[in-house]
Amino acid sequence: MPINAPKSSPELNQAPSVQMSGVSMRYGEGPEVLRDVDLTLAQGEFAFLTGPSGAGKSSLLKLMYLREQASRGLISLFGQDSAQLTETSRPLVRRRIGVVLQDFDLIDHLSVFENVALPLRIHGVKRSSYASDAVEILRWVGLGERLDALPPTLSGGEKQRVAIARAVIAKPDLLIADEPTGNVDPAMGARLIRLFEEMNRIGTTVLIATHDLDLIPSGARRLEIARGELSS
Amino acid sequence: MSTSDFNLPKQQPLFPPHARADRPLFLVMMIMVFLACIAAMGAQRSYQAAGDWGRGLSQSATVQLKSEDVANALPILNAQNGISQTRVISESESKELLRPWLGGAALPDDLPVPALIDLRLTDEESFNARKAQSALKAAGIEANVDDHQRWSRDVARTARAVQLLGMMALALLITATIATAIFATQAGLVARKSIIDVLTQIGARDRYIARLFTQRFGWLGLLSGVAGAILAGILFLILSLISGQDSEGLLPRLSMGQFDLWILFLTPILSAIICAISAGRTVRRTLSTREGKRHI
Repeated sequence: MPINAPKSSPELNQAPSVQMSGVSMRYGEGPEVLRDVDLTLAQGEFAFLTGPSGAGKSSLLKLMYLREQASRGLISLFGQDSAQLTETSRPLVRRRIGVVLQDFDLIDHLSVFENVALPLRIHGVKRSSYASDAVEILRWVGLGERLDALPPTLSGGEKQRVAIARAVIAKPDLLIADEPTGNVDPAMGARLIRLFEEMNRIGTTVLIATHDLDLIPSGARRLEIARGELSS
Repeated sequence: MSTSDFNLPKQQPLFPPHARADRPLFLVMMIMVFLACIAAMGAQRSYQAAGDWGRGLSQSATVQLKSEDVANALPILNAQNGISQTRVISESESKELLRPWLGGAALPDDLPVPALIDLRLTDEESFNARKAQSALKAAGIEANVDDHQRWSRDVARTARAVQLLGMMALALLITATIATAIFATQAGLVARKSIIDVLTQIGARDRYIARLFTQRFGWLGLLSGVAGAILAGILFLILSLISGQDSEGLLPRLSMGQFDLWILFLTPILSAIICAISAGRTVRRTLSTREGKRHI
């Protein structure tokens, strides 16, 4: 497994990874899908987000990975007010966040290997430097033999594992996963959760949105959302 | 583990290399460059021809008079300022000049063809046609001295008009090319939205994404420009061959010159630059607007 070095970011023990205060959100002129959300995810925390479909889980995650903006309230990521991020600073914050989405968001004409290595490639890392990490992470998720396969030829579960490998390869400070085990068998699901735990062990804050309550270890922090309101 | 332990797939460009959405741009840019080359070469050729005509006209003058007055007229003309050489046009030459207008049939002997004296001028400013005509008249010679000024002014005006027309056509074509590149980039953004979303999500800067478009559309602009320039070159060569046959010398004879080669060489580069800059700016503006909307 390629995850071994603990993180040493100076902000690591200072600002929380995510801090939300009085956050509400609506799409366009529609009704509010999130209402007065207060939430703090400390650096290095491991939490699960649960709630029925349409409760606002994905919307809450979108605010965290800067896909959407709150209509009210304050969101702070790694101590930076998300509303104040500039064209230069916003990508830098995004690079610290690994995201696994339900629809995988893979690039169809790039091989599995290229998809996984994409974050490092766009950060300007040399191919020779990231190649072994990408291969190792793909072996960990059981896709070591499918390096050159294209996403359209993969099953749903395989795509999900590629998306997970891509989210963790740059060793993000915050890992957000939306139903990451929804398309894999229980054994692979358990293996993926172990991967997230490994990430968390080296300091990554992990937030997993899931319907599967069996996935949540006893004692883990559980955030519950219903009709746009969060309780923990 | 080293990279030699496994066979890595070949690195692919982040945008699919043969995007169907880009084909219309290739076609339109090729046509634009073709038209730009033709407009530039045509305008230059017309301007050059008009200039040649103008120079030819302004450096010479013609005297029409009766044949019997030629011998008396020559010393009077040679005494005028600004004349370097006088030459009597022979009767056969005169008839040859008339042939394009009256046909190849033998002209009747009694046709009153005036005698012509061709004057080569050293300096068109110091030669005064009216003064020369008065001097001939004072010697009892009825003659018409034509310094071609009326024609050369028309030719100069026509040349300027043709040049202006060519420049306007080029300006319009460049504007249309920029607009086309902007529209094509916007279409390219829509066609690649899913890729751009992924790149944005993993932290690609706007300028990184813009650079991908700049490279892609710059290359496309160059390829389509080369194709358009080759087509224009071929057409120009065909026209050169056609214009070289059966020409009476009234219309400019087309032949590929150094200027044309420069046009054919530079236009595709200009096309690439226009496409690259337009695409890059459009992407930066669009991404920045999109990000702004997210943050309202």
